[in-house]
Amino acid sequence: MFLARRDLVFAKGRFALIASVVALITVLVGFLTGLTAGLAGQNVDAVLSWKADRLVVSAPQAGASESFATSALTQEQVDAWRRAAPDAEVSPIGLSQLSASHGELRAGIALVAGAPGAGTGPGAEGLAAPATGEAVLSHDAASALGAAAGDTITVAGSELRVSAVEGTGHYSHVPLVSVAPDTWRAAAARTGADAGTVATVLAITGAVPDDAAEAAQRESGTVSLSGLQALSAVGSFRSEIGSLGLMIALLLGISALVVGAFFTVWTLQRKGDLAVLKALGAPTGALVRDALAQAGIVLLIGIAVGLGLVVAAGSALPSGLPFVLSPLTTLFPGAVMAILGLGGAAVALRSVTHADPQTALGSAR
Amino acid sequence: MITLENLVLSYPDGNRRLTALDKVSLTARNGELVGITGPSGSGKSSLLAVAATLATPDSGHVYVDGEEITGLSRDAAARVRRERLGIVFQQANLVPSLNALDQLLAVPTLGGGRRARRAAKARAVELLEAVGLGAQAKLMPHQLSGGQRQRVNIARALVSAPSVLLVDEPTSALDSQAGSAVIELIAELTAANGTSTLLVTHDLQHAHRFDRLVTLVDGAIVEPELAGAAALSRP
Repeated sequence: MFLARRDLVFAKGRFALIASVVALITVLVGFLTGLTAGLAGQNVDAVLSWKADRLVVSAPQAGASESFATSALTQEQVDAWRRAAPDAEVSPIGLSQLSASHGELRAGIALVAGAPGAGTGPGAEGLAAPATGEAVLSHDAASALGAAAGDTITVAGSELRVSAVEGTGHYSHVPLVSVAPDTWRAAAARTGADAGTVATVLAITGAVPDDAAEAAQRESGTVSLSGLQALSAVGSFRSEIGSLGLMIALLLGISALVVGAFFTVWTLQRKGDLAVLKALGAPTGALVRDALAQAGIVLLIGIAVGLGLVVAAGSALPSGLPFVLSPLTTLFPGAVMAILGLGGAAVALRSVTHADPQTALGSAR
Repeated sequence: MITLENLVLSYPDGNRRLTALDKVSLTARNGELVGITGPSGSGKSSLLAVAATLATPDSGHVYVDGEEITGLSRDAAARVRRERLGIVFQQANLVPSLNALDQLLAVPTLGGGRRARRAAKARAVELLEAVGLGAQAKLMPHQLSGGQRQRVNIARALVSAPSVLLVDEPTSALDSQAGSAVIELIAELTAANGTSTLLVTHDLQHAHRFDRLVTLVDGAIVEPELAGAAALSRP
């Protein structure tokens, strides 16, 4: 890094400028990544908390895709899957987006009900289902409704006693309220669910042979989903994450282009110096390594400053905002930026190898 | 010692080839300063480029201390330039971000790492003293005069203690006084270090400092009596 360090000191204004640009892009990427993770959490963390190997929903109408919002499962469909997977645990889960009120306050909630141990409580794994006529409110639901344990809230015309306030779960950006399965079925019936609906989704834990699963799907008119497939059945998740992900990808691409463009201009300006050094015997490989190290230093400084700002500002945000500050939302995008930036610089540094040492003879610079 | 043997070099020039060097043979012994002169386009710079392994001749050979250095790979040629040849450019061609001392240390460090740098550092300090720039070692190129920059250029060429010094028109950018001082310095260093020096110049006012003067015309070395006529007949 003989030349790299001296160039950095000599042209500190120019390098400070590009490092500042990298830092600003890092801030944008960091905030977008944190926001994406936060919004994704508010959208699907209830689904992710279900400890299931596959999720089963109603088969969609022709031309439509699978959706929790339109899924309604009957007891016959539940039984069909229990027959197909006798060794697996099949847990019916009810899930509806409704409004709830407490006094003058109204708020949108996700009413969820499941068997004990299905993880359908508001963010608490293994939470026991509330008794009939009771509700467990997540903290955000309690806050939105101004309710506490012992209060009574109204959901779909029924009064429910708040038995506890715990957890932070969300579904489709509204906070969870956990109730007993029969309480959910009653609420669903009153809000227009098809007659005979006993659940929205089946959480299946344990092995189900593929042929048995296919037979169960055909027999019951259902679709089984796994992993990311299930998340895409949550309304708006795919478009929301897709839009934000595209913005992050574009920013990462822009950062690589900006760094590449800077080092292209910088290297072209130095081409005469590089030709002189090569004429004097400097190995091309050493010059390339030195230039890459220079790019690495600029990137590291820019990214470190940018991440520092993200961490400082992210820590100061109110807790209710959908923003996640974690290594996955800071260090990971920072590392990707560094790799892509170095890639951009490496492309730009091809000029180093092209600098012709013979041009140093007779040249005046 | 450097020996050039039957060097032929040609360049494409439209549909034909232009002969830059035509069977040039020349030897500079240790401690010998050989001046190379000739009119513009006579092949002086081409001769220097081939001797410096920066251009590959169509035919012929270049030997440094009896070892052939023509036809080497890019990396091997760079090593020869780094360790056995010193090149003094027409313009000082100093790297703007390096101070005078670092100009001398750059190539040994890039080529050989910290140990080479340590070894080069002691010699670099000595060389800067030898060219009268001991007090200016930390100055940047823009803080030096033209003559001082050319002295750094010379010291940089000698930092690896090369056996051959190739000098390209060192006085062209200097006034008469500074030019004389530079030629004097090169002559002294050649004698003191036992270097074989090939010095290309247009300026014959310093010819008395050369051990030998060779004249190139149309890519070929001409006899001294013909050289005078050629010099008079060409610009």
